[in-house]
Amino acid sequence: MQTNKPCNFSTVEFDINNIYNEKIFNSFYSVIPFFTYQLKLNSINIHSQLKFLLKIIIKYKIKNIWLNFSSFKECLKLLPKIKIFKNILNLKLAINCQEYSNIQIQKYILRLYTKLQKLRFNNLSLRLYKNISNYNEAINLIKNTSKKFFIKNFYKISLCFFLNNNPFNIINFYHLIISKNYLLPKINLHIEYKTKLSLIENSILFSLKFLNLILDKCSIMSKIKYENEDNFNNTFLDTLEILRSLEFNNIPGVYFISCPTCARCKINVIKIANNIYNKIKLINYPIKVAVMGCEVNGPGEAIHADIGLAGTKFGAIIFQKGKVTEKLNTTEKLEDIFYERILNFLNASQT
Amino acid sequence: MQVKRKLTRKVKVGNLIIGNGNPIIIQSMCINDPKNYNLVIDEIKRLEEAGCQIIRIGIPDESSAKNISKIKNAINIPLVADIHFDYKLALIAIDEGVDKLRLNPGNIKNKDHISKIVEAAKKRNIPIRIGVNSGSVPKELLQKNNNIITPNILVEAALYEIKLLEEQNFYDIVISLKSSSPIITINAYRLISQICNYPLHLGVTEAGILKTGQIRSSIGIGILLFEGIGDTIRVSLTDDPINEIIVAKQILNTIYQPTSL
Repeated sequence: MQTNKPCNFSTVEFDINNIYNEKIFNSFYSVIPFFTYQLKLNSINIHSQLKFLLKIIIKYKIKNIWLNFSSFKECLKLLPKIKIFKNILNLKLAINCQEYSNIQIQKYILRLYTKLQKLRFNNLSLRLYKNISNYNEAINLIKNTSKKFFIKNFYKISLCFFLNNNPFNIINFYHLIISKNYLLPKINLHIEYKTKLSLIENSILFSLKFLNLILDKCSIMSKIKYENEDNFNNTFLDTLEILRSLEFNNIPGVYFISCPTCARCKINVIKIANNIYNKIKLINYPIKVAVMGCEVNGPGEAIHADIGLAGTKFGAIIFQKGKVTEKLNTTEKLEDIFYERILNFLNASQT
Repeated sequence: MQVKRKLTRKVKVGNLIIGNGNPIIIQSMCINDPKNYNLVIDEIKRLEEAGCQIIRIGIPDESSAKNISKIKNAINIPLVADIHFDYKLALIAIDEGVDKLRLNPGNIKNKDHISKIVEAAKKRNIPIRIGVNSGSVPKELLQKNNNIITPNILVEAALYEIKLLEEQNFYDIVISLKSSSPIITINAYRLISQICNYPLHLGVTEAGILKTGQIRSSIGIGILLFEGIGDTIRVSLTDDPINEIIVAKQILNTIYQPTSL
């Protein structure tokens, strides 16, 4: 089980158009370069897409980008336009292969490779997305891409299979393929569901992948569906929270714990917790913050936090690094006081 | 993906059965104090309508305990009394007709007191949940473990209490081992499911507000359910308890969705 291990950020992928938010990217600047991003290119607005991409790559020092094409034809057509990235990125091309048979895929890849050579692209990685209705179809594609031609001429090959309906079936299937040694070292499996998943489904999918060492080298895309797109709902932030909850030791930001409140509660935990969380959710520094309602679990949890608040009969107590640092005899302005203590704690920790 | 449930002992709670492959039961906990029993009744009715199947209420003192029968008579789902520190509150709760007790080995430790609770529970066929929580692990155990919370000490705390209950021939036990860390939670429940076959009440405690709580509960509860571990679940959210029911249902739907391959 993961405890105190670093997360390999390059295995986590996002749609750059979907998650880009200047405030969030600026807050978590230190880790942005290490994730992998995808950009779906189409001929209609390719210029503005590439302009946007170039800007982001340079500003945030992004290293890993998959350029996604809806078909081989589209890819061949648009290749000359992506020449500007030749020396900036290790080029990764992802192609949707739904309509193609394995033989057609092979022919197209040969064409693609020839064109890439003409345009002098080197060190290319290739990803193929394929729908399958049975496991044998996937095994066949794996066998085809294991041939010498692919292994010799591409830096990495990534395969993504879409199984019908249930996103968790793919986890079992990949586990089976990898444990039976069907894959060569250069071939990677990528976990991605065709449509966006709910936050709950995404959390479980990530857990199934990251808690299984056999799937260690698999990449996984985070695609979250929200009922409303607003400031509280951001795939990047929520994915960081998933990774934080999986206890990787290199995730920036706040690990926030708070109790669900009950009859014993002496303070308005719901209000205080939500307000405090919204104020601190873009803090980059990794700290554990606790907001607890009473003396049953309050001190116990607050002690394990970097800084915690626990409600008492008369007000609240504040803990820092396991020790009581303040006893408050009132619940007035509790969240303002606690927020100030958190900021002071951060300032002291960062100097 | 077919989930193979681990078969556990059957425990009857009111008119429901927890364990032994019976459908996973969704629980929640009231935010109001039973002193204000009308508020609690309204809250429970709202939760019942949303799909809550068992409800727990905190019993901070005697005046709260003495309103249990008023609440019990006004609701439809089984009622659990959450008891901490004072064993006499458990005795009052039992007298008042509660359907189940939750005891915390971290704060009711006197063997004599526990024995009195068990005797009273036995007489009325009331099951007991031994609810271990990472925020209130018995101090002696924590100190023995260099003040570090591990799955092992959560399990140890539960096993000690189970032994006390079994010594009195009491077996209507449900177990919970909640930590604020989904990973410790998962490991603790995996461990105890190999040691004994009492039904398990799953949950990640202090999971935070709606956003963080959904994520941590999905991870902690979801992974265990996939492994066939768990018989009842409670999602803890620093939010309206209605959302605990909604999230719990979503987790169950995610795990038990139909497979096509």
